[in-house]
Amino acid sequence: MRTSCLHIISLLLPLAVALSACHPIEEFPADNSGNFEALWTAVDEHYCFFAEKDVDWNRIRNQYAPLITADLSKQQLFGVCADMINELRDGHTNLSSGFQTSYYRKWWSDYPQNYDARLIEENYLNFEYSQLGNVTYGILPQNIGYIAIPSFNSGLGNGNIDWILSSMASANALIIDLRDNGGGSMSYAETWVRHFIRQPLTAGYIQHKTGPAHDAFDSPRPITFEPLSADNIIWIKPVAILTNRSTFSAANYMTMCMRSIPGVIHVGATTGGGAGMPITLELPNGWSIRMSAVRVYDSQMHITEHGIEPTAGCAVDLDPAQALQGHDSILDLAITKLSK
Amino acid sequence: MFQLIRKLIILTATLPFAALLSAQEPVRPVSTAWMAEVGSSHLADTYLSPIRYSGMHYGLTYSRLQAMKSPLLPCVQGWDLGLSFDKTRNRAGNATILGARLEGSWRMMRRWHLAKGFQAGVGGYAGAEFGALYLSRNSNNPAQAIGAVCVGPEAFVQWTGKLKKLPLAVRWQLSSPLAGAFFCPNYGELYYEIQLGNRSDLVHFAWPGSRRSVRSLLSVDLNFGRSTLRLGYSFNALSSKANNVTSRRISHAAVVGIVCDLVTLNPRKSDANILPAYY
Repeated sequence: MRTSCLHIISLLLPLAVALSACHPIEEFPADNSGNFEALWTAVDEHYCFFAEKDVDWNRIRNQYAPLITADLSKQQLFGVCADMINELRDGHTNLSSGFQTSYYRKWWSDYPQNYDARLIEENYLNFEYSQLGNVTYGILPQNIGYIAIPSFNSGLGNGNIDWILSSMASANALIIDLRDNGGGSMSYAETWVRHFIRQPLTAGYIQHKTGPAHDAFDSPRPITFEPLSADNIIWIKPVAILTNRSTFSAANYMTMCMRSIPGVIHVGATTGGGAGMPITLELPNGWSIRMSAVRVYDSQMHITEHGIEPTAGCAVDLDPAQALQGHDSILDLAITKLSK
Repeated sequence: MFQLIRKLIILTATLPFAALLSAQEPVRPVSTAWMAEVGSSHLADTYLSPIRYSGMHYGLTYSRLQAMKSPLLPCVQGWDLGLSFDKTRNRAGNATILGARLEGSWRMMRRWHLAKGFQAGVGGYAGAEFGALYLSRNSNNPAQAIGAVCVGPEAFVQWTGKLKKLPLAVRWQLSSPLAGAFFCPNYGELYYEIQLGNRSDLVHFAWPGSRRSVRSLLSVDLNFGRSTLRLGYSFNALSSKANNVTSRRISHAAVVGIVCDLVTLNPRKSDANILPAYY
């Protein structure tokens, strides 16, 4: 019996030693070349829009790798790496170090801004608007409610939104201004959307990667919102959404969701997109890389990464000449459409 | 009512025999240990970062072990409950992964007295752990949940003797899971998507190919009369891979604890036959 015990233990010991061997994790040295390779690999394995943007990531590597030498300063290395990821043309993709964060700006800088908050606050609301959190709201002279949501970095709860909507109960319609809203949390956008639906809404689809290959994706899953309880305020009158090119990420997502609600019109300029939910990884030297990693589609299974065009007949830019006269041509068009 | 009275009569009539039987059974003290451990921690989880993090590991464990009643095989059984916390930094020193886990396990082992002072035990355990890793600077992937249930073999070898006049017990115990289930999100899946209702492919079969682990504790129990001091070295290693996500947790820690045998004795029984769990 004692012998059998020793046999069992002598079998268990090497088994335990063998089992303690870890699954391998690819590692790169913390020198210039290693950091460049770590960055290229992280993007290669996680970025989700190579096909949509027709980016040949291997060609990009061959283009930038020869620029990496051991004598590059960290600022120079950062510059080469930032240039490389800017080839993705993605506002959600940033490289961050202790001294700089890279940012691809052309998705909005090549377009007119189409928004001046003071123009509305002064000429349409006469500075007599209310504010709750970062949201400003009031009723326009045409008896149309106006809500400006400048960001989803902070959000309102259902009770807050109930309060805002109930203050506009006498209005005939509602305008939600998402211009210059660069996004934030999708959950905050979802909270708003649920105040405009009376039945479950499949607002879009979401699709994540299942592995490092560029085409390794799970099947798209619906994003379905349930209506709020009867205790909450549900807005059922006409609604217009205003956007400009700086309507990005979670604001683009809210635009996408609202567009799937029948009767909602979308006025202004094409949104900035940002339909890839970003994740963050890091390099051996501690720099972090944020990139689009999860695809979000609209309810028609279109990827909105390149932006959402306004409703037919509702595309308009802010006219600088009219702005000098105190008119916001985008807001004016929305008022006209809702007043019909 | 009649049945209740009948049960009471039967119980009263058999009570003296039950007392006689229990008097013949050995007293089985519960070996109870409260242990604290401090050491180094090495974490990696490719869902959060491809970089390994290193830092400090802290843990508290409450453990119980007791000889079983079985007259045929000398066995021990017990359970333990542990809480651990890790604070680790990346190589560059500009990011922190925090980890917290609660784990518990139940075990039963057949033991053998090999030679004078030497004994060994081999058996199995069933355990569960829950916790999370948190990397605050990440955007939509700031945390990774930990959840697993498993069964596997466990063994110990022990020498009991004296160092000069000080009674001591040197023990090495080892366990490793062989089968179970563990949680792991998909490669690029965000917890936001899980919250939306996509809960497929989250739970995976654990076997040594997908999740392997070793838990080892080398300890010395120094008996100072009524109390026993435990000093030891703990080594835990875990590696898992599912959905192309690799996780790794390794800790080395110094252990200090207090061990005592708890016995429930009837003071009127002077001839108690004591059957300890370890000694």
